[in-house]
Amino acid sequence: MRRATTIAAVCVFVLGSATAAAAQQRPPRGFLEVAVATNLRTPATVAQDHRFTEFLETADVTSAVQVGRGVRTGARAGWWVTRRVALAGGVSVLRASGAVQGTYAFPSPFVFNAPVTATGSARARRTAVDTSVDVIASLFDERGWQLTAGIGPDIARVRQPLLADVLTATYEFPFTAIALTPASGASHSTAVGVHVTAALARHLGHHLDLTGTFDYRRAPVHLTTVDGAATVNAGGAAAGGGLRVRF
Amino acid sequence: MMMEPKGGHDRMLHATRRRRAIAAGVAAIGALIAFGTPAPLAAVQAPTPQRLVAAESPLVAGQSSGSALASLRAAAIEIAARLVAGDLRRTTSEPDALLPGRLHERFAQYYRGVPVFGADTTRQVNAFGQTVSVFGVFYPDIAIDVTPHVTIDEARALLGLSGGPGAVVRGAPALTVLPVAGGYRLTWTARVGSSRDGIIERTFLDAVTGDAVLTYNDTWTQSKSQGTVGRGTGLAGDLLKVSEAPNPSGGFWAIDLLRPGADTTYDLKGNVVKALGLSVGTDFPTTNDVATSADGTWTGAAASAQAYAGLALDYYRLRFHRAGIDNHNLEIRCFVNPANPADALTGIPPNLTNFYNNAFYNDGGYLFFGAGSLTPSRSVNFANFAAGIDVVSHELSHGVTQYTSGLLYQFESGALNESFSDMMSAAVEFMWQPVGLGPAQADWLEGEDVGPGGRPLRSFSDPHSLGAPDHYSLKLVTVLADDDGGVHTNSNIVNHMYYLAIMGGTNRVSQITVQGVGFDHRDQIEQVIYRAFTTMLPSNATFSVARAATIQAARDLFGIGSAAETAMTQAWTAVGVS
Repeated sequence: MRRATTIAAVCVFVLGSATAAAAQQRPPRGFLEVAVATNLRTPATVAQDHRFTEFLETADVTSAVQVGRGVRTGARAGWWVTRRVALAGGVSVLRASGAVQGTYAFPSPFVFNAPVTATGSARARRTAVDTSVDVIASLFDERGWQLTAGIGPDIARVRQPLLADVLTATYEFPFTAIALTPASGASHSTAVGVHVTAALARHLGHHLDLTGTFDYRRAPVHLTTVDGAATVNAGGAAAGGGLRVRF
Repeated sequence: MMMEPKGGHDRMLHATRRRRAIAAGVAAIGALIAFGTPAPLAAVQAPTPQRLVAAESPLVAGQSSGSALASLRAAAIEIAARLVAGDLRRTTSEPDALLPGRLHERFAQYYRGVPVFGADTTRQVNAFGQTVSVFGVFYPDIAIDVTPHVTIDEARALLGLSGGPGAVVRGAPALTVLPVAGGYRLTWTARVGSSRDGIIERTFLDAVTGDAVLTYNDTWTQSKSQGTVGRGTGLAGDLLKVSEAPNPSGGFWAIDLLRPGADTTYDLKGNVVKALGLSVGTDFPTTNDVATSADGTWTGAAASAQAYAGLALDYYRLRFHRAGIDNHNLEIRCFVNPANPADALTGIPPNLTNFYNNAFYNDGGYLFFGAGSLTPSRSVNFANFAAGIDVVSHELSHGVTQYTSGLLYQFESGALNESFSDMMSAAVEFMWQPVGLGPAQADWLEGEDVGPGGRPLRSFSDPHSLGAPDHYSLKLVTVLADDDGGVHTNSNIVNHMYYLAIMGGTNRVSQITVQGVGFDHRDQIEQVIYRAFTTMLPSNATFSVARAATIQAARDLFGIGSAAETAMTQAWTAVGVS
C-alpha cells in the first residue's frame, strides 16, 4: 500500500512537472500518433441479388454479408504548419468479423419450372486499409488539453469475401442438387472517399499526449464477383484512443 | 410394338419367305451338311419346367410359413448343388440399389456346358449371405447329345439366309438347348435382322440337321464438352428443354451432353431405306443424320424424342438410381421421321409398317419412332410416334428389360415384357407431365398422343373399353405367330393389375375390390414393379411367377403386411392371377 502511494505521488509529480514545462517550452511541430478504435456502427449488411439466364430460365443468387464492428488500428504522422493548422497522413487497418449467407436457385436443364436450390453460409471477414491525408485544425489548446479536428481524402482498400468467394457452387449432372464447397477467396477493390477526424489530447509531457479519437470515413467500394457486384460502404464511425508523440 | 399386334397373315408371309430362304441356303451348302425338310413354324409346347418360387414368407396361397421357409432352404441348397455340378452358372451379381447389403444374382442353366434357352434363376441374398428369395425356371430332365453336326460358320450362313436377302446375323450364333414340343433340341441361335422390313427375329436352327426349329419376332416394339439447352416445342405442343451440343460448323446437334451417354437423336427425313438399313444393322448412323437446329430452337419429332428420352432416363435415375438402360449409361439413339407420312396415301408396304405406324426398340439402345400416316382424306391417321412421352419411355424401357430380366418376347413372358414397358412409361408420364386428359398430359392411357384419331392404344384403368382383356380368364390364347403369342393383348391384364394396385377399384370381371396405395404413393408400386421385373424375374417368367416376385419385392421394400404388399396381392387376385 505504501509502495503504491509512492508511485502515484511520483506520477502526479512527473505529470505536473511535464505540464508546467510544456507550458513554458515552445510546442513541438511534428507528431506521430498510434491509435486503437472500434467501429461504432451496428453490424452492416452487404446484400447481393444476382439474376442471370441459365437453361432458358432465370437463375437467382441472393446473399447477405453481415459485418461486425471490428477493430481499427492506425498510425498517423503530421506537422503543424502554423500554430493552428497541421497536415497529417496516416494509415489505418480495420479487421472485422463477418459471415455470409446465400441461396442459389438454378433452373433444371431438363424441365421448366423445377429450380434446384441450396443455402449455405461461411465466414466473410472484412479487412480495410485506409490511407488518409488530413488537414487538421487545433480548436482548443489550453491547460494541457488540445482539441483538434481534421478532414481530408481517404483511400480505402477493402478486402471483403462475398458469397462466390467463400462458397463455390457446383451444379452438374444429375442436376438434382447444388454442391456448395468452401473456398478462401475474397473480392478486393479500392475507392476514394472522405475522412473526418477529431481528437482530444491530454498533454502528458512536452513530447507525449494521451489521445481520445473519433473518426468517420466513407468510401463506397465497388466489389465484383462472378455472381455479380456489390457496393460496400467502407469505413464508418470509430472511436478509440492512443498515444501521440510530439517532436 | 407400341401399337397393334402383328397380324397372322403377315406372319405367314414371313414363314413362307423363311422356308424358301432356308431351302435355298441348304441347297447352297448342301454338300457340307446333312439337311432335312424345314420344319413349319408352330407354337412351341415346351416341356414343363420346374419353376422355383420361394421366399421367407408364403407367396403361394395356402402355403404355411414353415413350408415357405423349407422351400426356400431347399431352393438355396438346390442352387448350391447345381452350381457345384455346373448345371447353373452365375451370369450377373449386382448389389441392391435400394436395400443396402442385399445382392441380386442371376443364374443360367447349362446342360453339359450348353446354355438352356429360357432357363434362368434369380436369387436375392441378404447381408449375411442368406437367401431371401428365389425365382427361376429349370429343366431337370434334359438328355440329349450336345455335339453339333452343323458348324458355327454353317450356322451363321444358314441363319443369314433365313432372314432373306441382305439379312444380317447380329452377333455370333450360340449353341443352345431349346425346349421344344416333345423334348429338347440342340440348336444354333442368333438374332437375325431382315433387310426387307427391319424386323429382328430370333431364329433357332437344329445343330444336327440344320432345320429351322423356331423363329419369332424379337423386335421389341411398342406397338464431355458442356452441352447447352435449346428451346423445343414438342409434337404435342408442349414446351420442352432440348439438351443439345454445339455443332462446330454452326448451329446445334441433338446430342445430349448434359447427361452421361451422349444420347443422340437422328432425323432420317423420311429416308425409309436408310431407316431399314439402320434397323437391320447394314447401315450406321453418321453425323449427317443427327438432327440439327440452326439457332437452338427445336420443333417436331426431334424435339420430342430428344427431350422425352432424356426424361425417361431421368426417371430411372431419380426413382431407381439406374444409370441408363444397361446401368452403365449406354448411349441411346433415337431415330425419328424414318418415313414420310404422305407416302402412306399410296399404301404402306407391309414390310415397312413399323416405320410409319409403330415404334420399336432395337438392340443396343436404338429406338425407332414411326413417322405416322395420313388417311386418304389427308387427315392424320397415326401421329408421329415420337409425340408421346409414354411411347418414348415404353421403347426405352424395353432396353432396360434387355439388360435385366431379358423377358422372352413370347407368350406370358412377352406380355410381361410389354407390360413392364407400359407400366414404366405411365410412371414416367406422371413424373414429368401434369395430370389431365389433353395432349402432353399424364393419364392412365398408353399412346393417346399418337393413336389414330387420338384413340389410345391401351388403357390401364379400363382395358375392356378398348377390347382388351382385363382378367386372366380372358387371356388371349394364341400361337406364337400371332403377335408373339398375344404379347400386346395379354399385357393389358398386368397393366390393369398395376392400375388397381395404385388407384384401387373393382375388377370388372371378378368384382374383387382392391385397396390401392393411392396416387400419391404410386412410387411404392413403381419400386415394387421395377425391383421384381429387373432383379427377380427369370426370362421365361409367367404371370404367376410375376405375382410371386412382385409380392416378395413389396415385402422386401415395405414389409410384410404393408399397404404395398396388400395392394399387389389384391390386385393380382382381382385380375385372376394366382
